[in-house]
Amino acid sequence: MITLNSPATPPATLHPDPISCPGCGLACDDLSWNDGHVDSRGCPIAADYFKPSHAAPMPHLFEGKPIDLNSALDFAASLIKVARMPIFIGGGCDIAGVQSLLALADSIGGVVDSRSRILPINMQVMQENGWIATTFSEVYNRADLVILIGGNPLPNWPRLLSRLVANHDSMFRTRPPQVLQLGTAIPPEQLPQGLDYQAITVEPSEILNTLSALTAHLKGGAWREASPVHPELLQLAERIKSAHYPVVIWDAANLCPTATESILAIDYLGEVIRLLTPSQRIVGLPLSSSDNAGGMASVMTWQTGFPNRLFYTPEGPESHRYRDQGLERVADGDADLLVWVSAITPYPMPEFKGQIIAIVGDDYPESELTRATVTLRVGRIGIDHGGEVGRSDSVVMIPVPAAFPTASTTERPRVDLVFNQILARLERSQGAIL
Amino acid sequence: MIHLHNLRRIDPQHPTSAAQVNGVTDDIWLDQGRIVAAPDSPQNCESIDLGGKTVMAGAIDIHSHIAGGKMNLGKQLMTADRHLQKFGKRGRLRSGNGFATPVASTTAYRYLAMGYTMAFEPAMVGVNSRGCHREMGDIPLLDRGAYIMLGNDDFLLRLLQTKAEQGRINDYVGWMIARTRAMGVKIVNPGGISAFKFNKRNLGLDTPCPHYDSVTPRQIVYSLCRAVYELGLSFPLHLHCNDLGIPGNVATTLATIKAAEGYPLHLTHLQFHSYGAEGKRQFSSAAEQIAEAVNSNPNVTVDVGQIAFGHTVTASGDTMIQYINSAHADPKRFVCMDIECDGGCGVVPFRYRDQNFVNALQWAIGLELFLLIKDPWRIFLTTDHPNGAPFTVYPNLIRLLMEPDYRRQCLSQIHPAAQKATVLGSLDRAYSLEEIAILTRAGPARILGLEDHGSLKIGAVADIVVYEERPNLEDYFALPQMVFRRGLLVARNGEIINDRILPDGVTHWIEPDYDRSIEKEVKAFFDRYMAIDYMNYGLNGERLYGKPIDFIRHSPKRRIA
Repeated sequence: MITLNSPATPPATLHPDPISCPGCGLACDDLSWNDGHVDSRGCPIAADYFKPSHAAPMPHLFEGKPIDLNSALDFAASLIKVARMPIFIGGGCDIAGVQSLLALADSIGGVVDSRSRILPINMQVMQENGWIATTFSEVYNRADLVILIGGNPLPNWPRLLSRLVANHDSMFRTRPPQVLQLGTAIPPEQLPQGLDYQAITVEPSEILNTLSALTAHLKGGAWREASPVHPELLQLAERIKSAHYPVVIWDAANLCPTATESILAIDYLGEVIRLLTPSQRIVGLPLSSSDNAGGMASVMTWQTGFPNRLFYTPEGPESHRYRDQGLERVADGDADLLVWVSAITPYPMPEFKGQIIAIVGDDYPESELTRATVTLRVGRIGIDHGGEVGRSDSVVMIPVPAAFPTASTTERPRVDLVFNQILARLERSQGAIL
Repeated sequence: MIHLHNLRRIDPQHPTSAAQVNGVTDDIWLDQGRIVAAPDSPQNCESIDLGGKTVMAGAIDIHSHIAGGKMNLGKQLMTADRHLQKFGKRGRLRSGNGFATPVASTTAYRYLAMGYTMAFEPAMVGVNSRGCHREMGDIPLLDRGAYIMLGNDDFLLRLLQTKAEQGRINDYVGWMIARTRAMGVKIVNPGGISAFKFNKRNLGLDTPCPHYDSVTPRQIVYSLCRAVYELGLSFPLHLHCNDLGIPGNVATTLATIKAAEGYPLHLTHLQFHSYGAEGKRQFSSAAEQIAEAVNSNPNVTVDVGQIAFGHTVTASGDTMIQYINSAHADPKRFVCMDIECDGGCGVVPFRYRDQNFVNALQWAIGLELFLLIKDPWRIFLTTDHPNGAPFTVYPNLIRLLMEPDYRRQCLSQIHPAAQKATVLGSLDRAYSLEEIAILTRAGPARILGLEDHGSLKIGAVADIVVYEERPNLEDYFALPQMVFRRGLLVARNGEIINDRILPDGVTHWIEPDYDRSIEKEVKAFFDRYMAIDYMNYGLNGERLYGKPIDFIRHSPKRRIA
């Protein structure tokens, strides 16, 4: 058994400033140290992510028994070597981790998918119809009207309004924008103080019909006749038309009761934006990725052309929207090996009958790991080691320095080192080129 | 050590090398990644008799959209492209796919198969630079670099609006180049991307920018031309002019040349900026006027941005123009994005058709420019990959330049009205092999300041291409017999070597000398207005994590203190 050292709190001068949080797709990079703790600026996700932990590093495991890193890597490589259909589920790690995961999966074949069932919803609409979108700093400086669609976004995106919308100082506007919500109202106590906020209450089951009616109204003519619009929607349409830089924000996880309805709803939102853009500016801000699923989608795209759900076949990477869904394959029993990467937010493992290799951070519940054949306890980005994550607005990659730098090559190794080591073992064991 | 002998050397940068003066033109020695002098007593030397074949340095593409956020969007939009040129993992080679939007591995393998060993991404958005470098780092084997996009970033526009001194602008440009690890500076539609965010749909060279009413595109062009020159960069300002693709934009292009006031200026994808508005279709060739202006302004260099017929995707930082182009999207989908007070991007799938008058004339205009601009050292072979066509059409393009009969034959097949609207049929010029070598390697290396590349001189990096006689010139350039990168054989007859580990590509960047006090101003701007921290913008050396990227840094010498 390896000797495990308690992570010592580094001297204050070594603390990175500012600190970035990979806890959600906002990837806030304005956190700082305060009295020995990370000041989460009121964000519960960041507070939980950076909560003080002085526990000793957790051991790597084989069938529940502690083993050293090399043995764990040996076991993991041997499982992967004989797997008929391995399935890799991430992101749950930084950009380098994704790069190494893909290199390994390309070498041996199998399915790669992220845990996100939200990103593919947005991606499907974008890939079929495109969209007109914006990024966080543009919202911060230009938005004079924000339209939130669907349910309360703040549980998933706690600082969306306080950080990006409620700012008084900006380049191009003199006061924070009005925020109009079409959906379920945000409780007043959750709103930033003084924000001009109004809700047009729409039940989740009615979001799709409402957006259909709004689109028909904007199209005019026969469309308008076919779909009468509520007076409040008429006011909303006029308010949008009078704004200079309205931003439509949606969280695909919090839009409609089903994924199919959400896809159609986002389709309507894209059409609303396209209908108005000939005469004015209006943009979308899709919120879609936590767990670095957005960063994973970027790397997967530039390496394979597929942003999610791909199958490395001997003929090259392929992707089928339904067939290659990783979690569904797990559920169907198609795969015989699950490689579960969850080193950012500890997501519970799905039911699975085959072997499991769990690549998880120290905060991952031990009770979940009893089902794993091999457990590799890796460092967590932003805590044990530095790394990079993709922001939800898709073009920005944020560096995440280590707040408590404790990662080493044997305890809490980086995810990319784990995958590189497994690949090296497979190459050596075959005595040939993979 | 490798000894290549019995070869025909084409090396325009060093036409009077010692070997040629002595009449001994048939030996090149490679050792440890470089071309070396003939050893006194060669040991452990592999000798390859090339039987009189032609040898050139590795080719260099100065303008090819090989990475960055807009190309990722392009890959996502071009779903059908994923089924084209698909291949599985072979030996050491990664799997891949893509014709118009090749993925990282495909980009490298296709370039190397054609004898290209280096390519430059011409439109890196500052805030996307970390992602762009990550993506370029995943392009195996190929050397690369990127130009930082400026001229629509609000910090610069604020400097100009407040009449900042040129020195301060230089410092900011220097900081941006260094922070984003760029190899050059690009402007896309000066002021136009910013103007589109204020709902302006066009912006003339002398029109005040929205919100920045003391700033015009002319001032942006001039101040950045000067900054690039005074910072000592080898490569002039790389300019995508205002009014791309608009009939009659010849006036803007000619005025833009004057706006540089004699400072070095590189006009990129010039074909898209050489349009008149004559004739009943109000679209005509202005290539003769443009070529004349280029010929008479020695401070101007150009790349063409030739189109080829077929399906591709247009991906540009020019949101203003790409929104207009979205009306022609094929298939009907497009993405436009405003990006972080830094720039923007527009991605529109497109099909160029030989029986469409405008597309056909665009094809002819590009070739007219190639044939009418006299100095091969001031013109570069590009398709603005993938905007005009994927880079894989280069061999066909070279054949069009070298064979007038083939060119006329192709001309006879395009839209009849376009045939009548071009002087192409009357141009007899045929590029020589030597001129092709200038366009594709010697010229690019010289303008980029890459002294160790683009030539076969002793001491040069051993990126070498061996061409074998083929049935036609297109095959000749598509399938070199051998391609060496850094002295190692990486491709043979179009196939990439896959049975051994080959050295990865390197990323070139330049670090200009600038007054570091500008950083305080930039940080204050970030603290006040940006949703990304100053420390996390670009590639701050203190915050480089993850997979190492092999960088080569160049240090230009300031021309003005």
